Amino acid sequence: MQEKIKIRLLKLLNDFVHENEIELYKDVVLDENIRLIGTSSVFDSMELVQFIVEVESLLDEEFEIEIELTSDKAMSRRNSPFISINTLTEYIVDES
Amino acid sequence: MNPKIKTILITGNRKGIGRYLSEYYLEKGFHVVGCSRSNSDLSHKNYTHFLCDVKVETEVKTTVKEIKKQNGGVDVLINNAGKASLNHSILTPSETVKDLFETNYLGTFLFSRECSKHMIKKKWGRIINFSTIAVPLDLEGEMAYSSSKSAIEKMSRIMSKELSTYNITINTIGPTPIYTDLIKVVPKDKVEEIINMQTIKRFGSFEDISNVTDFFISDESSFITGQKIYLGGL
Repeated sequence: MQEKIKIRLLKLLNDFVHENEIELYKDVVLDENIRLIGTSSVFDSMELVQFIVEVESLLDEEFEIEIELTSDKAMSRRNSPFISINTLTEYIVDES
Repeated sequence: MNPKIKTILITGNRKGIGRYLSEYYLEKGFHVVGCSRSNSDLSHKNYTHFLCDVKVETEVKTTVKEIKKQNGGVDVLINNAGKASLNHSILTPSETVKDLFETNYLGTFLFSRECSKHMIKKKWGRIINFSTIAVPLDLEGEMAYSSSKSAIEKMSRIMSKELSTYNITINTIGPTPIYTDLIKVVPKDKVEEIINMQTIKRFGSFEDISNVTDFFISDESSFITGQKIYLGGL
């Protein structure tokens, strides 16, 4: 299940970057370790909000996982779930 | 009819302003979804009713999710559900303050947040929140009610900035006294006193409300956001 979610999130990330014409730095590879938050993030803050909405919707529609990624729990974790697709996948699996 | 708008969600629409707006927009050909804590007798082929307490997060989430399934999401959200209470601050129980903030403020926030998620994906949406002229008038005896509505005004302004990138507008209407159940709790002399403070000294009408909601949701109002319109000339 974890691997299935990760692959799907990676595809979502790729589609999202393409559809929103997000410019990537040269040689950046959109893999499971790419930063989703912070100064080296692939997103600006508005794009991150939009991406989170897309992830919540995908989890609900394709995996029947109802999860609020912006819950107090997610936000108060020492290590944010939004660091990368890897950490996000781990958080989703832990919480579902 | 605005071709972009398919579904209008009106909270707290079993009676009063919400009921009027539901019938008004059904008449205009929109799909209207309403919600309240008890059943509605409103019946129309383009109308769906949900039982939902606006202050209960799980109920709000389930309602919005169901609307998305049935109608493809919410295009216009009218956060009409609200409660009023009159009391001197010193005599106001903490439970009253909590209840008013939960119904008026939290309810408006929860529906705005959940509906915005879909609007963000569609990159289009209209949200209308309800304030009151009691906010600028600083009416004695309406501390808890006015404060909760004042908080809604602040929320509207901040959310309008946060969501502007996605072509979502958020505006607020502040009605004067109108003949509804909500105004029944206000003594007659107090209502007259309020009306005398207005520039135009008369009761508001339901049509005064729909005139403003029509303006806020129109396609031509895509450049109007974070605004509040008080009726009666305040």
